[in-house]
Amino acid sequence: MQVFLQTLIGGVTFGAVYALVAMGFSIVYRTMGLVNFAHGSVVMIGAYAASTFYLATQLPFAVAIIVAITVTGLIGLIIERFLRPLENKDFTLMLIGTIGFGAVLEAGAVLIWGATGHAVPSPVATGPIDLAGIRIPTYNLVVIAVAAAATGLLALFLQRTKRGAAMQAVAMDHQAATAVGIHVGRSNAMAFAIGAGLAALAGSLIGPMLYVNPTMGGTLGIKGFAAAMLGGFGSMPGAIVGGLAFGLLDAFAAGNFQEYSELVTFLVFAVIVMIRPTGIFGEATVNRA
Amino acid sequence: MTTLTVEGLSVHYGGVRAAHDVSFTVEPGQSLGIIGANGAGKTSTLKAVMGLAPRRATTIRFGEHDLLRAPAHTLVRHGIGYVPEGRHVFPGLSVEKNLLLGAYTSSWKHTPIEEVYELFPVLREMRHRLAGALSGGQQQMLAVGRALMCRPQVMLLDEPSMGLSPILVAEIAGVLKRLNADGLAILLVEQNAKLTFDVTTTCLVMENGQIAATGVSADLRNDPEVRRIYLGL
Repeated sequence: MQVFLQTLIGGVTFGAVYALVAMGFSIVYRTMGLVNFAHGSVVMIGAYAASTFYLATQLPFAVAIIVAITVTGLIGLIIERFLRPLENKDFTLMLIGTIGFGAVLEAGAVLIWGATGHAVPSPVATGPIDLAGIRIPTYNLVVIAVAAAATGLLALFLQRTKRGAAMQAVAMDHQAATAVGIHVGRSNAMAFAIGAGLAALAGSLIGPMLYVNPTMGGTLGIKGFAAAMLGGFGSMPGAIVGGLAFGLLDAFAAGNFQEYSELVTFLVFAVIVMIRPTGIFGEATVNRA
Repeated sequence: MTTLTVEGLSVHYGGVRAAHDVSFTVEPGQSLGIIGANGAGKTSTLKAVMGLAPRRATTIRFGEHDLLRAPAHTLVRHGIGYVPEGRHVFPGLSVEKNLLLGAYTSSWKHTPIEEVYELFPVLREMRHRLAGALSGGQQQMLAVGRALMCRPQVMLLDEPSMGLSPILVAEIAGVLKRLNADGLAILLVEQNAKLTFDVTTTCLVMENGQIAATGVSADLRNDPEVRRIYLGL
């Protein structure tokens, strides 16, 4: 029972991070119909930006996260600006463009920070909380709380603000959105910036739990992508549920199958997606036909 | 008040010519119809005016505004409302959000949403429903309502009768006539010639991407040739 609950909390923590990554994939996919293959690398840049700033300045970790979000948000804007001329012209080139940007970011990280990576000390000094015999690391709770708060803010933005409504409108109908006066390119740029910001948040939060290195983007990108597919690609609630589900799957597989855990995780994932290809909350998004 | 002027408009999709050398004007408060068979180039013409189709033209002006150089998303600011073919409401957003987005370029504190609800009471009842859950007729009303939210001087409508029952077509016609009587200029593109003659004072007939005839709607309605081709009489 104790082991079960401990695994559960670990799963939810990583699941919350996967959910952030998945939401980043989904918000770009919703608005542009595009899978941003550079997303994992942006997560990695976010992890590096936050940890480097944190280690160098000793300022609170929250400040480091904000710096990381700003840096990657800018990277998101740059990627969108480069891809914009291809919008509605060559979709395949856009996809390849995002893969290219991923490679550039990874190479850039190696140039700046070296190929070996660095460990990040836990930003929360207090020891684990003891709750009825279960030891919960305080940092895990921080991660879950921050991810939940970010999700709430994003939902508020999309549902309660004019810009948020406009972004949703663009996701549903480019032409009608243009006709009511929405600048589709600007809306896409915002989707990219928000997606990159979510990636940075995920990267900075997971940094102290993992080893920050240039290839971490690949693993996190794949897991976030899988989480988004599990929930239904393009659906925001799906990204959250998919992220948590994938985190739990990952944690329990790691607990029971040790070195085969990744194999088991992705095998289960593959079976679920074969049974339900649209994911849990599968919905129709931008049609690119 | 402002006049919409279109001169020498051509639309090409790749190598396919959809419209060629189309010219017309919509005077303030006027109602102009464009009828023609499927594929005659009506929708392309309207989309091209809105900047939503690849176009070439000598002039597309709305009063002093040169629409030929204006990006598509800026047209609504000059008071040009557009009701696209096939309604194109935002299906995953509520009716109210759809209407508010019609006023995207102005403040949401002072929108004509009450006037729209008075014009279409059913939209008020349905305001919290998702637009995708409405019937075709309700979606059409929503599309017209959304276009009215920018307080347009001219409204471009593309096949508002498509897929609607005769009763609903009559209702839409009534609303358009009322709006026109209140001073809104209307450019109506339709396959339904009867509706078009009913709503408009002047009418263009398009064939193979070109304007084949122009006339007063009441005269065209009684023209034996037009009656035979477009009214099936």
